[in-house]
Amino acid sequence: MPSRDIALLDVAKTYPLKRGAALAALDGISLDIANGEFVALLGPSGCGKSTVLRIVAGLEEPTSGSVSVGGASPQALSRAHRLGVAFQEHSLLPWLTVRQNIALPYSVAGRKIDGAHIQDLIELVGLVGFEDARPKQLSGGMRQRASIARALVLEPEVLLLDEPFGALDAVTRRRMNRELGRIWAELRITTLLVTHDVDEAVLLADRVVVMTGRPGRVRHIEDIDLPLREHSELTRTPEFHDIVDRLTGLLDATKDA
Amino acid sequence: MTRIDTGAAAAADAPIQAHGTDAADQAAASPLRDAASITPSTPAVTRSTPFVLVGRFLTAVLLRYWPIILLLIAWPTWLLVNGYSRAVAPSPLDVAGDIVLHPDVYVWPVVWTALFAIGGLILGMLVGVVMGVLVWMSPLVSGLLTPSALILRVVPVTAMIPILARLFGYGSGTVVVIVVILVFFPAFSLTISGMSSVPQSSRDLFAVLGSGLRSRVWRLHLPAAVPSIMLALRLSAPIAILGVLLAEYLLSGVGLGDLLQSSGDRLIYQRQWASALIATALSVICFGLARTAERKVVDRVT
Amino acid sequence: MTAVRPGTQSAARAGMRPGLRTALYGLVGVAVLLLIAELIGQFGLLGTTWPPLTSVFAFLADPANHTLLGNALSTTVTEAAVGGLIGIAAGVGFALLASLVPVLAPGLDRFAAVIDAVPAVALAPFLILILGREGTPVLVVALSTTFIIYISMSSGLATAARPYHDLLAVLGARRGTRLRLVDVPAALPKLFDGLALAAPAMILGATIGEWFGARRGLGVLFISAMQNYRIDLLWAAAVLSVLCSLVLYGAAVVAQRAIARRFA
Repeated sequence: MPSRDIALLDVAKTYPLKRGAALAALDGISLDIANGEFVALLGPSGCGKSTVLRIVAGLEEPTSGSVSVGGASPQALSRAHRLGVAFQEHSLLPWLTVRQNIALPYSVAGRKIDGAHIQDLIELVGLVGFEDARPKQLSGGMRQRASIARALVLEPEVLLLDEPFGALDAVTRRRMNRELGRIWAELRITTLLVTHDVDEAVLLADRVVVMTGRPGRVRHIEDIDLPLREHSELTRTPEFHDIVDRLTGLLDATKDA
Repeated sequence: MTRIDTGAAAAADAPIQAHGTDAADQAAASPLRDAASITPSTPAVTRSTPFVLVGRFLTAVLLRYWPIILLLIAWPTWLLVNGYSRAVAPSPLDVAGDIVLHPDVYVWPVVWTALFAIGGLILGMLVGVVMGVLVWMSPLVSGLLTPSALILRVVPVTAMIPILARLFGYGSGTVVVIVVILVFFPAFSLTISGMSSVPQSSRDLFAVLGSGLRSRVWRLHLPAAVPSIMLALRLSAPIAILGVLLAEYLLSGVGLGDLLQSSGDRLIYQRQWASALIATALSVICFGLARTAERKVVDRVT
Repeated sequence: MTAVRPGTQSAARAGMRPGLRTALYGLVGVAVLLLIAELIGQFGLLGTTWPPLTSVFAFLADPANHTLLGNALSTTVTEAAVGGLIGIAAGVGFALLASLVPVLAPGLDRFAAVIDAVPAVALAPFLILILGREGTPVLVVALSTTFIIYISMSSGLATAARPYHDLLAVLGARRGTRLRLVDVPAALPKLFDGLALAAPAMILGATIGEWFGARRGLGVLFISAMQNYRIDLLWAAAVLSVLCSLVLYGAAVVAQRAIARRFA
């Protein structure tokens, strides 16, 4: 599958407040994500990590600095319908069935709906038997599966995940992590995941970027070089715990500061 | 459940009406807001010449009133194209001229119409709110009355006026009765839905404090209903004017509605148009006053 | 009213489903209302102007009156339907226009507010000149419907939550595509709320329009019956207009509930 790299160079974002004051949300963010790499942005809530994702998605413009996706602007990629995204709020349209929701990107792109491909994706995310259900008939985990299937349906060159499991309970979240890991291993698309869950970041990503808040800055980048193993086994290894402990320590330190 | 029915009808009224005026308000506020946000960030704009200011003012006017401007242009054009004579389609000048030259013709009709509308509005609001409170206090009575209220509410005022005229005569008393009835229904149903909108936690608090029904109504539910009651006032203001005009049109020998009717009958078209214009202005003023009152009162209670 | 109270209270105590109890209360309430109206007529409490309801329904049932009432009814209903359809189309159209071309929105909003404040009577001379006395009712209906539908549709178009807009932006949707796939379906519940409000307004608008010199219709019947002391005819026409409004309103509410279940 074709893929793209992401490059952020010295990105800053400020929001104007009343009376000429301004709120600095991001400052000096530089980050390169290679072709086919899975990077997790880890940080406490309000540190601006979602803003980074929104800038990469082309939903917001940086106040200064530059962002490029595959050498072009993010908007160029979304206009070409080559960007996949899943938000914390599943944002499935309540009046469409699971199948119709997953087919939505085809309608947006004005392309013919590929029913077989959609069925493959429904199998990939484990929603067989729920194709004709409406979102409100599904559990939270199933909605996120549908939302991820929708993000993948046009075979995007970049996948953006903004706390996709943030609204789920711990058990479901762990299971969804396992499945996302399996799906991603098959596709290997350039992926940016925003999360506040250390386990999730370490389990899924090739690299974890730890951010500090107000204004959001990159504090630390951790290369994850764990052996490829079943997640349930991996989480019990001392190497995994070392990394999680160290990153959690960094997050705590940012909270103190 | 029955409460929800009236509530739903009222709630359906509420956001719709609220949106209309909100949109208008936002439109009114936007040039100010734009100025505020632009001025500090781009200092060049602060040194704007009068020319730029006038330009910006004209743009704002055009943005907000383009359909009306379009209408004012389309109207004479259409008259010209169809070749209507000035007797049938008086020009704006004829209309304005009649108002200026014969103010005595218009003064009393305006006073009467305004008095009937405002008197009926106040009376109808009072009756509606009092009945609403009484009915709210008894679930049984409100359950019995809600569907009937709905039926009475859809009676077209055009059917109501002739019947009431036969019952109460063709005089001014009937005009007031009609306005009271028209204003009653929104006031009644919005009072009930407003009183029912109190959150459970506040009800629990008053229950724990051991307060009686009267104190709960007076201190909790009635204050909570004030925004809905004021909304009813705003919704009713144009309805009251319409009711008075329709009633006068058919019944009494006074008021703008009568002037509209009699001048049309006597083919004095510029006078008919002028009274239509004045009636519109009166309605807009009434609506504006009601909206201002609503804002002031709601500001104080919330 | 005291006569029915014990019955309904025991029904409540027997633990009926709330929906059923509401319906029962409502039915009893309507029955009481009709009974009071009937008794006022039977005993002549308000004079000859208030006939017993039974005689009004007898008048309605009498085939001798069917031509007169039927003509008036079909005229008014046709005006309401034609004006209503024009108004719905115009209201939805203007709301979509304001959504697609936001520059136009403030002007349209303001214009809608002015239209609402203008009393229909005041528009009469203007409307008669445009469409003549027979066309005026349709225009009055169309104007009031346009206002209600424009306001409800444009507030509906603004209801779609921001995450949906973000999603569509990332997927590379143009404004028109977003409107079609997200905003319009999300607006349907509010649109049907508006239709329920507009339904009685259509009948009212048609009868108001008929007052300005139309030759047929329920509105004409109201006036001529009043002037000719035809009390039974006046009431029969009034009952028909109320039934029309209720049927339209009921249909709109049923549709609105179905739509709300699916789209909200």
